Amino acid sequence: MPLLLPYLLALLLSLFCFPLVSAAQQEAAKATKPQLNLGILNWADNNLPLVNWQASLKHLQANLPSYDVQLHWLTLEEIEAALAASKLDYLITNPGQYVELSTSYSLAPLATLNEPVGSYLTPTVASTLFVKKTSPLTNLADLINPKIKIGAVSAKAFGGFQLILNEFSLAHLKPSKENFIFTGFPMQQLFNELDTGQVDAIIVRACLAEHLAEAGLINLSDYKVINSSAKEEKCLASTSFYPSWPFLSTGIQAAAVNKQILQALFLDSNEDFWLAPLNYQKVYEVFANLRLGPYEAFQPPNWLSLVYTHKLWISILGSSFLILLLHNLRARYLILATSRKLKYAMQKQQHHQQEINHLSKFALMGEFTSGLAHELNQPLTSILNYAQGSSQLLAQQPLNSQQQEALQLAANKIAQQAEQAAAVIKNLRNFLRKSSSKQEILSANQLLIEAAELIETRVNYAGAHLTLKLAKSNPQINAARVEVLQILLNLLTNSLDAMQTSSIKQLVLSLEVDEANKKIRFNLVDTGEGFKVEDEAKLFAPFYTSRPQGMGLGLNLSQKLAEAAGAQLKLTNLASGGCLASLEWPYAQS
Amino acid sequence: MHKVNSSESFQNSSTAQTDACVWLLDDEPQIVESLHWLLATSGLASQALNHPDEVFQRDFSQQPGCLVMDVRMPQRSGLDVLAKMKAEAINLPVILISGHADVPMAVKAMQLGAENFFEKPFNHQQLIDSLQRAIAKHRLSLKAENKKQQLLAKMQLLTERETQVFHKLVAGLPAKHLAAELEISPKTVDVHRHNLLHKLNAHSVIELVHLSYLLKS
Repeated sequence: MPLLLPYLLALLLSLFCFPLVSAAQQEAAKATKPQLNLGILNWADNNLPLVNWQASLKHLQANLPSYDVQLHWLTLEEIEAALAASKLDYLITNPGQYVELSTSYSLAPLATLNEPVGSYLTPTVASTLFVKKTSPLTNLADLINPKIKIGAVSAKAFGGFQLILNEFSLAHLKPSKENFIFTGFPMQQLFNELDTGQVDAIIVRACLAEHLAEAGLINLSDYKVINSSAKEEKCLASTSFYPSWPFLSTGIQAAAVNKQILQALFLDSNEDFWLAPLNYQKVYEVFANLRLGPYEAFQPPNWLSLVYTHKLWISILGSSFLILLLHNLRARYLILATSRKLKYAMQKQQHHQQEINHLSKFALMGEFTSGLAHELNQPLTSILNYAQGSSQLLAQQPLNSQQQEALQLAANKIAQQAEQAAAVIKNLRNFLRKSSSKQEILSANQLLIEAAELIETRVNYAGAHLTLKLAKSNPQINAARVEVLQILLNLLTNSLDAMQTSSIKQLVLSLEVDEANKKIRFNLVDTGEGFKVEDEAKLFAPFYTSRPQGMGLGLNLSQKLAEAAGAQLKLTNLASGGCLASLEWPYAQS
Repeated sequence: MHKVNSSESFQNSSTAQTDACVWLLDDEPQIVESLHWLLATSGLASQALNHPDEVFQRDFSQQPGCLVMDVRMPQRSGLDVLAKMKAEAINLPVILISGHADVPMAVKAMQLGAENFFEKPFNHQQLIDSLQRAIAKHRLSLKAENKKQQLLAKMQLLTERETQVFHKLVAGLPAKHLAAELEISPKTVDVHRHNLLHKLNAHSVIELVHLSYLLKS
């Protein structure tokens, strides 16, 4: 193994060295002649007979024996890249690219191509717009129609599409993108498309048609030219004629070399493929008009450039809009959250009020039932007394006539008392049955009487005296009967409680008719102790009470019921002592 | 208020206590009427009072009895009447009845010296038992009162000297000391003692001591 190592190393070395050695030999060979790099636009059209001028390049190489002229066939992009790398000494390209590149590179035309088109040689370029002879289209304006299709080889073709576009622009017409169909090379196939009706018009290079007609491929009389220009040249054209391809110096080589190149170009005396450079100003005008090439920067302001120029203002506007939007969103969110909270609080409050109402209904019912229980207890006690006594008497058989009479009396009394109890229950049921909160037209006088009847027991127990003063006009109100009664009974109960320690216990319940305001007032005056002035604010507050056994819900509920019915409840201390409770109710319109 | 004939009774047996009277005070005539009838079946005579104030106008010392009174009355609360009876030392047992009884009310009633407290409707047997106990108590109390009144009447017949001698005798003073304190002769003391024993219808000094206890009650 260690013996083999030097051989392997030698082998590897020789492998690496071989390419280096051969490259060095090539360099040495070239170094004998100065190299000139000529870039030529490899236009897709170059294999057509149109560009047979390329033979002239062979002459160029032959006429410059002291130079190694290298030909580089390059695309538009490759040319630009090669120029950027300063790899080209000379360049042959179309006038369009020349104008375009002239803004970035110092290009000087040394000659203009005298192009052979068929049997003609022309140093100029133009475009022809053909339609069929039979076509109704006669001018450029006729083509501005979304249905019209115009065939062309490429949007980048100077002697073709771009020149025609310039004519449209000069005529202040704006064809849309959809009007054009780009078919690619070869250009002559456009005539087929026009013949078969796939397109309505075609754009071709000037003189192509004449050339094809000469070759017998088409018949010129089948077509007509749109926007035909003055026929100063040999060929039909829709546009002016522009200088053809220039031979350009890139400024790398010295003037002496340029001179040799020119001599070599013009030495080719057989065919005048190259002429002294024409003025390319017309091309610049086209590009300026189409805003292409060097004039691209001056394109009419489109929205993107507007955005770019006004980016500060737009960003200020945009950010303020964004801030407004965010603020709006936040405000909405806050409003939503707050309203949700409010809703919850309101629901809670409503629930609370419902509970209070429920409780106070119980409290009011409690006031009733204590009276009712008393009313029922009396007959029940009597009945029990008679029944118990009877059973005791019956245990003493035989009965004398006096005892039998007593039993008879007891039986009658039991029946009588039971009837009384039943009447009490019937009254209660009647009251409860009517306890719906249904609104109806009610007689105010009747309500007063009913309230008095319901409170009668309590008034008697308190040893008080209740006077009713009815209204003569018998006014009516729209209300729920049980609600009015609840309020009145509550006021009466309060008055009775307030008069517990009074020596005179007088209650006056009267009805006052206020014709002017279409209102009636239930006025209750008592001879009680009234309320304390400092308690005035708390009178209607829930759970506020001056009585040890009170729940403090009566007035609260009464006021709630009154307000809900559009009525008003007021309490006033009287100068004479006692209190005036006033319940104001709107008239019912009959 | 309902008028009830107090003599009415349909009791067969001799347990009828015709001398006793149950007084009924309730604002509900039906209750009074049925109670009257019920008591009659048990041989208890009863009479209604028309107004709480009547309690203070009547003389209840003439016959044993008991007052059955409602607590809640429009004119005056039963507890109020009871308090006033206590204040005026009216000797009549009271049984309170109420349709709305509660513990504080019952406690108050008992503190004011009510015999019993019933909630309406009540068990008649318990009421009657309670009434009879109360009447018996009243009867005894009236008897003692009667004796005391008689004694007091007899005491009025004693001369001032005889009254002095009476008090010294029941205090247990021997005749000799008594004579010395009153600065009279023991002979005169004997005369006074003889006279006062005769006037008080007593036979011994021991009997006089009993009478003096009656006076203090």
